[in-house]
Amino acid sequence: MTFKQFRVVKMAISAALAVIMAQAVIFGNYFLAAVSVTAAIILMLVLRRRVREVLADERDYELSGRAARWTLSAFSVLATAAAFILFSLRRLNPLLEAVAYVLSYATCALLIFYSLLFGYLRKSPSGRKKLLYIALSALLILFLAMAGLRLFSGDEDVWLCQDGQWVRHGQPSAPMPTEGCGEPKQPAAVSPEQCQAYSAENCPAECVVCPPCEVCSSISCQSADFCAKLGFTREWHEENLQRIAASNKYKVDGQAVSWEEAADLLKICYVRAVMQTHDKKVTLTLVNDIAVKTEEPEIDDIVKLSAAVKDKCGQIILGTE
Amino acid sequence: MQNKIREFRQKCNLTQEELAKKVGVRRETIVFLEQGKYNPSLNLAHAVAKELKVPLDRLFIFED
Repeated sequence: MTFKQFRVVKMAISAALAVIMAQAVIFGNYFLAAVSVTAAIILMLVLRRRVREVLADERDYELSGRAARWTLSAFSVLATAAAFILFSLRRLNPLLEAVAYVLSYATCALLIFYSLLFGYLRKSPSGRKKLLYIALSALLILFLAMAGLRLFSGDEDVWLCQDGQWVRHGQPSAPMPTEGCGEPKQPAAVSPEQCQAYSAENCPAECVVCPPCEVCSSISCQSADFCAKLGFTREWHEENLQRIAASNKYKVDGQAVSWEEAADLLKICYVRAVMQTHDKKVTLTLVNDIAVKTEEPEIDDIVKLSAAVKDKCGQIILGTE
Repeated sequence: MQNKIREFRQKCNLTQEELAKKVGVRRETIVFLEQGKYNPSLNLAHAVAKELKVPLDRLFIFED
């Protein structure tokens, strides 16, 4: 394999890896992410061995060392400046303080690692000194991990709301919160025009989740009027989720369910037909053609319940002994 | 530091690519060496001098 071919393949692998990683993150499949990264590394190592030409020589190493030094200097200066600016703006948004902390810790960690590694390479230690360097590095990593955990755990150096009063815990850098402690926060009112800015998962109470058009399969956060015009009620999305849950839960014929569960299945329009016997035994045929069994508290309770959901769910086939 | 790598390489009928392969570097490194834009390591200088069959002090000219 030539160097040019290797570069093309390397770019292709990187592009494929980027796509796979993006999908893995979107779908929360971290196993796929780990496997694809490992596979890409192994593939690159194998391909690298097949290249007969020199991939990098002493000039490349010298240049990469120089580039690394410049990057380190530029990042340290810029990150420190950015951290100072963000700290000074923390009153505007408390999140800025967290970002400033992350930048500060990252800069410190980078400089310490660089110093340790530089010292190690300069002295080229052996034997005990080598062990000392490794132990120091391990201690440093441990310290940074603990500091990071303390920083992000959120239970240190904060204002706590206790018995209706703000109580200082540790040494919080932020001033005491001005909003009432113990009082429920009043969410800001959302106007109908703002509904579309939200996703179906965090749709506010003022809005309704429904498909943007009758034939569209995707759902989104819309204004209540918009959904009502298309014939979707506020309960449609919630009941849709319940129907999906029911299709996953009821997969075996003859499964026994409680009367309450049976009533819920009727209410979400997941029942196609009902059969009742004199001894109050009821068989519900679900829309996925699975039959489940239950027992009604009183005779004809299932008939009354079916009649109650008729307007919403349409006619349910009824059978009786 | 100046050098006469190009002159001696041409005398040996070697291309930049061939010389690079023989001394184990990339062609670009030879280009930069010949242009005097890169100071090689002692190892590389020795390898180039050996390949071109010239003593080091004739290949590289140090300005005092």
